[in-house]
Amino acid sequence: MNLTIAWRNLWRHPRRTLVILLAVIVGVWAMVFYAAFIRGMMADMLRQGIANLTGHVQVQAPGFFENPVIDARIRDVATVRDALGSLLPEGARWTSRLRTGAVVRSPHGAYGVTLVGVDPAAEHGMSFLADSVTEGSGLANAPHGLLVGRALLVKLEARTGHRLVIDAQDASGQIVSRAFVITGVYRAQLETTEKQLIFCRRETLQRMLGVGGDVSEFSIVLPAAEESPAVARTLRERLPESAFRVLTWREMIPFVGAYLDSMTVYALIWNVIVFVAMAFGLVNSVLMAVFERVREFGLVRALGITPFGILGGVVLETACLLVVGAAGGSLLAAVTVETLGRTGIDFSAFSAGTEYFGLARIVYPEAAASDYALAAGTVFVLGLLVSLYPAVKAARITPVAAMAHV
Amino acid sequence: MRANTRHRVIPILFLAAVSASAGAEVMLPAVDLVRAAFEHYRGAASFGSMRMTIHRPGWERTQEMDAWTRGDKDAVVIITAPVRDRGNGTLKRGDQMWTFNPRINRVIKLPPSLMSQAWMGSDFSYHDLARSDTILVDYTHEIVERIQDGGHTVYRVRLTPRPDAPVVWGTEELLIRDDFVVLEERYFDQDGRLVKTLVATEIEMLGGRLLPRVSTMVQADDPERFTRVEYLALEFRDAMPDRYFTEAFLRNPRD
Repeated sequence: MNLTIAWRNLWRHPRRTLVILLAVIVGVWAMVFYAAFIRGMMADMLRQGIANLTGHVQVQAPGFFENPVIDARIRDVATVRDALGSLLPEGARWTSRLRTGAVVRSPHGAYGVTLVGVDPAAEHGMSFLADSVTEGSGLANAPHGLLVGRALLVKLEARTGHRLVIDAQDASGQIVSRAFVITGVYRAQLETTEKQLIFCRRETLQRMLGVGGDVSEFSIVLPAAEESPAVARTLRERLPESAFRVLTWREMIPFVGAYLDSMTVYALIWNVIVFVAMAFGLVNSVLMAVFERVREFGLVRALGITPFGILGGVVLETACLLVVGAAGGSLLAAVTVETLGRTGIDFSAFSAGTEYFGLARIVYPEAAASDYALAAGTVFVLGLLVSLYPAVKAARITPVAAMAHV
Repeated sequence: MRANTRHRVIPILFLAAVSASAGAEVMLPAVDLVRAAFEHYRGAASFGSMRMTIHRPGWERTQEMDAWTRGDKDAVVIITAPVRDRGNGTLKRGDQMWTFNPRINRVIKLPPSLMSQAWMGSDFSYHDLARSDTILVDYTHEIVERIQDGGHTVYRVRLTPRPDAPVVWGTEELLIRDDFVVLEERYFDQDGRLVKTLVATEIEMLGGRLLPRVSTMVQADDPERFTRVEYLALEFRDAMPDRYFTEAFLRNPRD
């Protein structure tokens, strides 16, 4: 009964109601969409971070993370292999790599890089490497092949089929130099990656550096990022701390973790900002609706409705407005997120700028149920709170004052 | 970084030594021609002073330096002028290098990564200078042309790196005169483009041997970018005591 009256009251001035309804809809949409955008960006950041030869969990030698030199390597490879074989959950994948600082030389320049010896077949689904080779055949059939980033290749003025010379420090501390042939070119999301990392076969690098079967890291990719701490704990129990160090992605790329953690806070702040803008319109229109009905409120007071009844009526009107607005806004946001989530939002025009922050060239927004709940909840609760002001004003109207009101 | 400049000395000495013996008209296979030239240099010890000029389109810088060398492994070079740079020095012993800067009064061992960099200001890279016998080991050699030049025959020798040799060049060419003076060394990239050329000029008697007094490394894409090294004095010695190739001498070079 009260609801019906509130609903009818709302539509006594359809245009005014529609305008404020539109404001609520746009507000909710902005809240949800922003959250979805940030979420998509973060998901991509995490994906990229994991794929950037990080993995969810890594086993390294102690000290390698702080100072990645060839001396800090895993010498007891079999123990790690056994542990991974028996302890990893279903669906987990792993590979081992050997890394070293090196200088790569061509006739046109010499640059410091990180040379990574990989098992090309095992990198599929583990890192960006397998899907990023744009030219050449990669490392599969070339014992002394080299996979070089596009940007570095430009600096070296070289191309597929050319020789490059690599200098690196071997296990005994001597400098070893060797010629490699460029058998592949890769593109990475970030140009710094292309300039920093070059790849060769793991066995080739092991032979060149004289380290036997030793590796720098075991990288593990799990079915879900959330399993990382548990898996790391199990591995830590098995692998003695004196010879091995187990790291999760949160320890290896802490800024990504920090971004993810602060995301909810960002969304909440944004929601409040949007709401404040919306609140002025809301209060104004409810206040107008109250003031033009002073005589009416006086009449119903005289007929025996309590001030609380009037207060409830006004709040209920606002509630109707907010519910319809929140539903409309959520629906609109769902449609937008769904569409753009499929096509992506292309930022390649600004890629030089966004790259700087480690962000993707194309963002795919994705909204969680909590994003909708947070947006609708903020609007509804805060909306009701601010509508108390006009509602209290309405409740204070007495029949006598109403009669004096023209 | 300035210290690295001293290593430019080495190829100059190499060229000098290569041309040290005035041979008769020879019909050697290419590899022997290169080896014959190289063998004359090996084991020689020398003291020289030289002037180096780095030329760029906009500016030019000149430094003078003293250099002591022994074989193709050991060298010490000390800058003598301008005053601003005096006392800066570099020591090379085997594959290792140290620099000394009098302002900070400290000897610093150069990390290997730095040793493989091209020196920023000049047109010589460390690898141009430290090559020693790699010119024989890492390449296959072929005489591609015999040029009659006045009374001399000049052999154009093409050097092709062996497949796994740590050589960045596509090919190199040496112009060796029949008296073993190396007149020119040309560096080509892997597309066959000329990258830079080391030209020896003013061939005259120096320290009792026939040597190019001036050597110039010119960038192929811009003739306004070159580094020229000229000998002011040069003497050869049969031996050089170890004390020259120490950090103590680097700090305090008293001959």
